[in-house]
Amino acid sequence: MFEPIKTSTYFLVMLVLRDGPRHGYEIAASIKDRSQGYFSISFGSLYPVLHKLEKDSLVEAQWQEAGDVKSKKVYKLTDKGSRQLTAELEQFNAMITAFKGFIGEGV
Amino acid sequence: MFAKELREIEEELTVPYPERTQLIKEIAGDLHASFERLRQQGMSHEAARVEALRLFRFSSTEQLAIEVVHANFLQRIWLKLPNSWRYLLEIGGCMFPLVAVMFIIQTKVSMFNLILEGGVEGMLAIMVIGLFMLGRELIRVIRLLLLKQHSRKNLNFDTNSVLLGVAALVIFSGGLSLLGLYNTLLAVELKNDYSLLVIGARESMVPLVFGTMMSSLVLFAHYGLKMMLHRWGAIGERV
Repeated sequence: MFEPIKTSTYFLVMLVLRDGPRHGYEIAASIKDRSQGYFSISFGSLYPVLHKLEKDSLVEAQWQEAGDVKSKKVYKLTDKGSRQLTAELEQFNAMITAFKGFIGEGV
Repeated sequence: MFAKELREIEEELTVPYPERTQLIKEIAGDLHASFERLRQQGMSHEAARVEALRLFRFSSTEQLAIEVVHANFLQRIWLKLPNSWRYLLEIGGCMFPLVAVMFIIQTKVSMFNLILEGGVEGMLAIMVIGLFMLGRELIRVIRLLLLKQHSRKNLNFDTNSVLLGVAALVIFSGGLSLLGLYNTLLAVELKNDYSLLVIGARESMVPLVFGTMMSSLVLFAHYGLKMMLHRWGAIGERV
């Protein structure tokens, strides 16, 4: 049984990483771009989320070396993370279907 | 390009070392990526620089959130305690090993006799000064190694005052030893008994031996801790 993902930030970060490994800046930019600016995550909020996911083994990180100051920490989903995300997505879809019953398909 | 700013960000962070070193490396990579993206979007060099740096200005809430993720169980409890409690616990944590050492010395008859041979007043002064200096180093060990409270204030080692203290202790101990030797020679002269010379010289050595031992312990604690923090990237030269 998985622990539920705590906030939308955790969920969004994992959704972005589903598409492949990314470093912090790419994750933040991707969340902003794909939500057309609706979601915007500061780096101060992003780092605790990424580090917590890494501590919980839901993502793993590797250094992409590119000189002393431009090395990037690249995150990718682990198998455990992928399984948890799938479980969360099923729950999320069920919730959307339930809400549609109240607010109508066209909304 | 952002070396100075990264140093400032590092000093403001409250995340313990060595995690802070890794975080700064990660921030550096993301900061450069942000800057390059802003430049590609058509911003001038200076405007892109200012905007990229703005993205990495963390609020105190965000700083605490990062710190909590990296804190272990003990540190999480520590972060919840009021300052007055922290101070009392630090003093208690420091006094406990010192009192334990004193207790062990007292039970070892040979060590106790050695201290008494050095003359009670002088040896007491050496012990008080030495234990005070050792206590200061122990508080640093508790703060920096156990609780990992790596604030700018805590990372200020003030090695000069430690070296001055150690030098003063060794000079004071040496002075006491020389005084003991002087008194021995005086006794030999007055009583015309050369057998006093051996006993007197041996007893006169004690303050110097004990003072040097205490000084070595202080230096060992101080430089051992500094080496550890240097390895973590908390002090000394950084990229």
